[in-house]
Amino acid sequence: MEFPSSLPPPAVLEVRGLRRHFGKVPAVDGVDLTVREGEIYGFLGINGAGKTTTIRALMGIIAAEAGTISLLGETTRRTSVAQKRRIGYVSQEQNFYPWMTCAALGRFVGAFYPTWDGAEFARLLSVLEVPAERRVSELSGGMRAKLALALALAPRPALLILDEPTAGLDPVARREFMQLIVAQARQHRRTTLFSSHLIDEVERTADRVGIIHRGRMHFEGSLRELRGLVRRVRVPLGVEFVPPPDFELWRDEPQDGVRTLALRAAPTAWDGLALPPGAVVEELSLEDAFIACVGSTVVRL
Amino acid sequence: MIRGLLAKELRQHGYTLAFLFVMMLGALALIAGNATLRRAGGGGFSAVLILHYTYVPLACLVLGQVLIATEFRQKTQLFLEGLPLPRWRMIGVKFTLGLAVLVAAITAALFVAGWQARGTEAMTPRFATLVALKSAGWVWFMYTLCFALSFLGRYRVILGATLFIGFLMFAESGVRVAEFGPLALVDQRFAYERQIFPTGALAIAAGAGLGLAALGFALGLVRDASVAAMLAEKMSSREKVVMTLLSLIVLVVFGHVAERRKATRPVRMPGAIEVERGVVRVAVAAAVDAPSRAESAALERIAARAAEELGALAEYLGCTSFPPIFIVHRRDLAAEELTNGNLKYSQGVMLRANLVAKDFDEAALLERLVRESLLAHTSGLAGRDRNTWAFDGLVAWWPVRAEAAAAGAPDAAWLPAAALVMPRDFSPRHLRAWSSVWMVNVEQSRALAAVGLGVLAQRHGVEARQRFLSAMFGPARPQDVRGWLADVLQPPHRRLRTTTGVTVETLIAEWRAAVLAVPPP
Repeated sequence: MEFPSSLPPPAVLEVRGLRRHFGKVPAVDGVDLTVREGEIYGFLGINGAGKTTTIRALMGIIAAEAGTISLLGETTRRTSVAQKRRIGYVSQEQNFYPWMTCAALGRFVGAFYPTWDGAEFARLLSVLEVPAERRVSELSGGMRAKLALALALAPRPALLILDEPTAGLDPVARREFMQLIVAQARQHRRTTLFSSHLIDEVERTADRVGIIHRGRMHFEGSLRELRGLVRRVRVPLGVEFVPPPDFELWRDEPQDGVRTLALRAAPTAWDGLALPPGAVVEELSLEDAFIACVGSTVVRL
Repeated sequence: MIRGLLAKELRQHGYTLAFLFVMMLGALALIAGNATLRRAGGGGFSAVLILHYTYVPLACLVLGQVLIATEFRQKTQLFLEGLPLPRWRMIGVKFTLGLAVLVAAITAALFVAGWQARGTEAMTPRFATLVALKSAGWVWFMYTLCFALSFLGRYRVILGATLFIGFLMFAESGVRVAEFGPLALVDQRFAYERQIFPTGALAIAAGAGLGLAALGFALGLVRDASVAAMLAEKMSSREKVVMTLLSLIVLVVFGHVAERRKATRPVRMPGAIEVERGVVRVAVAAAVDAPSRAESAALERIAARAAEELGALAEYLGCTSFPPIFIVHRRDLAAEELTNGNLKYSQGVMLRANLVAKDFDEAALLERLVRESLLAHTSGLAGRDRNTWAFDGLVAWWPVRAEAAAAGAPDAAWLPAAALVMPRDFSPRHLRAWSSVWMVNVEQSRALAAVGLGVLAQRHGVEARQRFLSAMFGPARPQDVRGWLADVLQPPHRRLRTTTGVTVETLIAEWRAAVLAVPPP
């Protein structure tokens, strides 16, 4: 799934120093992220990490207090209407007009996109098995998500942004939905950014990931890079071990009678790491790396 | 983009807008058919004035509700925000659509009124411009007010209601609210004024409307519409309590201000005979050019008698203030006719009677004065259903208190009548809903009430009766929420217990026993 990295494709979306507070709470505090052409970017973070705020700022729904957004070659503080016309957007909750039929909703949304393809919308509804003449109020959660995807894809956008699109779906519907996203992204080489807090979903789907925590980006790169950078060191209790200065400590806690450290360092630095007797280095799964990254601790009852 | 939005709004609210037009058609039919109004002058424009008071505010409220409040309450504005559509345009389309619907409706009404009036009135361009401008100013103000209110989400109803009640309170208190800018545009001169342009009122209406429209847009746009979205959330239980308390406080303040304003406009009766006794002031005047000697003597006697009677009552109840009493002598009234001058409670009591009529019943006048003055003193609270038994008893007993005391058996005169009306299961429930007793027979129910007070005095002492009546009717009650609250918090049974130590159940038992002791007729 990972992108061949010999010559990185150009960036479709580049965010630098994005900042937004709600009252005194920094929801997004200097976020930098880059999404390259044709890739599927998984935007990973726990609930309240700042994913939705970042995406809403990218969509121009809320204004950023600081930072720049370079979108499709145009750099602004706030995404313009012209830029939004080239983005397909699926929000976390589908607040459609319940009285509209799916077809009517398509006609309504189509009026806002010069590139709207009515035939494509009808085809998508058919492929996704969404009944065109059914009212939105009569659709299940999964159907609504598919309808949102069809609405987002019908204008043939250059960039597709999905904000936790599978939230609230059952595991089968979730997997089916993510397969649809991957299929359309691969088929049309459509740049896709989706946010999620489900690690397996991101692991299966994304070419590159960005991990956000407490409004700050903690990591951005491919999953292989993440596994190469972050590893676990297990040291017997009582044995002294101080990580070298070029190692960034992400996590340090006793676990099952062993001191467990999650460290981040360049892959070459790991080869030269001097370990005390009895200590071992282990590779991390994405889930472990993510948990190490966001710094959550094991609850002890 | 705009066409798409308009089509959506029309599809979503088509029925409501159609309903507004049907209402308008009904109103137009009223204009066309109302021959009375046409004959009264002002043509159909008088009917347009009625529309301005009724249809326009209602239509504005409905439009604000369906176009703005519903969008935010259902959170569908979040869907629109995801589309390539500037937020200001979304609100702008709604604002314009609502205003267009309203303007179209009122324009139609004006055309029909003008068409109707073409044969009977001089439809000069100046008059037409005047009517159109006044209508436009009023519609603009009302629409922008409801537009701004509709962004207040869960607070819009409570704020709107508070504004409306406050307006009524101020209007009631004599504040000339009808002369304020937008309201001055639709005053009684609307259908008749042909010369004077109300430039000041128009300017105020336009300015206020602009301010309100700006407020509405600001609420819809500020902080990325998060303020409007937050306000549209449902009210929590705690918030409901807080808002209720706040509304009560606002109403109390409004009521207080209105009450103060009312008090500043006392009634004057030049040339009246005035007699004071303690806190009571009685003024008696004759509504005739030159009263005869007999009339003057009657006026003086009545003034002295009323002041004496009411002064004693005020003293008995421990009143520190008492409403001014005005009695007007009118020769045209029949002997038994006693008409009310319909003063506001804060202004006092005015009764009209023919004081020199052959069969004039002075006792009836005094009893009526006692009743009306206590109602005014308590701002009508004495007449609340649960207070009525004590009130009726006092009013029946007070004028004959001397005779009753002299007879030694205060209940004797009333007992037979009381026995006829007392329910078999007479209980505190009947005291709380005294209307269920007096609906059987008013006079007999008053006798029963008087017996109750008599029993209280017989069994627990005359001081107990005085303390109870004093607690019930002694303190003046303001005519607003404060007075109502004080009355609600101190029901008669509580006042009875705290002032006499007697529970209502005990009193009822003694009362029943006294009435049942009367042999059946």
